[in-house]
Amino acid sequence: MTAGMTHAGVVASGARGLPRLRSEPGVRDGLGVLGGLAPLGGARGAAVSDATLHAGIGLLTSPLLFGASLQLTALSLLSGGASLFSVVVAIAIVNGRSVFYSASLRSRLGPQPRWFRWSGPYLLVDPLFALVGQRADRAPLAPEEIRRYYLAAGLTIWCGWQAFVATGALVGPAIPPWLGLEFAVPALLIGLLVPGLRCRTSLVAAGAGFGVALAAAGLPSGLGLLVAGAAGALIVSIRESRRC
Amino acid sequence: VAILTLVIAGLVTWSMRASFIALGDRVTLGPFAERVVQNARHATMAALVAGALAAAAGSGPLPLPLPWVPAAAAAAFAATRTRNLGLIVAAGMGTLWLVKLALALA
Repeated sequence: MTAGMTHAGVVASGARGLPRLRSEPGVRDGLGVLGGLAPLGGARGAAVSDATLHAGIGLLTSPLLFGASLQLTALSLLSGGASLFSVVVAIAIVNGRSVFYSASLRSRLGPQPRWFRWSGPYLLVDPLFALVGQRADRAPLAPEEIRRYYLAAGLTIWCGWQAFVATGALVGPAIPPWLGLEFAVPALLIGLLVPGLRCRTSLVAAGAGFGVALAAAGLPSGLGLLVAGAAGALIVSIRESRRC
Repeated sequence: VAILTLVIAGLVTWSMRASFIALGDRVTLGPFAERVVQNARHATMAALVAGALAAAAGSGPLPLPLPWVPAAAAAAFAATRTRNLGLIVAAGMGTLWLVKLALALA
């Protein structure tokens, strides 16, 4: 910003910058995801205010762990006085699927600079994984284009999530449960899943993952998802030799 | 201790997310393993949906909560017609409220 720039000039450039930001595909798709994530973020914020931990420590779970299921796991275990070791092991199990995400996205992201390969994965949560996969499926993108999309969508989701959790910590308990807002999360996941089911292989993978997850619903949170994701992927990889 | 625990858990989380992306071409997967990880996307997203539905059913008699099934079907139908996530979530939430209302009136 130049020293001579007037206040009106700053406001005008800000007003021009906002639509430009919203026209960025990653920001636009990230904002689309945030609509469905708002109830979950609010619920996690409410869990922060419910937990017996200091609210500041509860809110720290949001930037440090950045993931709804991870935050809930940490909050419930820390509130119950669990040891450092058991919290870390539980978090690793719940987060197991992100190793799949990392392996799956590596080839889609293509060659990337070192700074991105080390810092970008911090943002890698379920909706971002789905968005980047969909985007790469639609049209082949150059490494710098997919990186721009990844960062724009990831940072949009990150910023929105932090705001939702903080707001939820304040007003979450006032939301009436009969609204059933928690359904917005599976609805959002359905919206991220269904458009990608364009061939037999993807349908079989999704069907197998869904079925195994229902059968494994009794397993601890995270472990069932890991088993279902791995089993679904294995089943379809053995049965179907083609990718779509 | 709680903050230290969260920092260590955060480092573990980040290192798992970074694993393959950070290593780049230094680790290569065989063709079958590569196919498995590529197929894991749809399997894992579907498992997340199933997990969320099953968690909502809780300890009820059915594996899936009744009002959520038609609502999920409505969201899935909407997702075949549009990529607009807001509309998809709205279709699911609207159906959920209609089914809950119908069940309450029945």
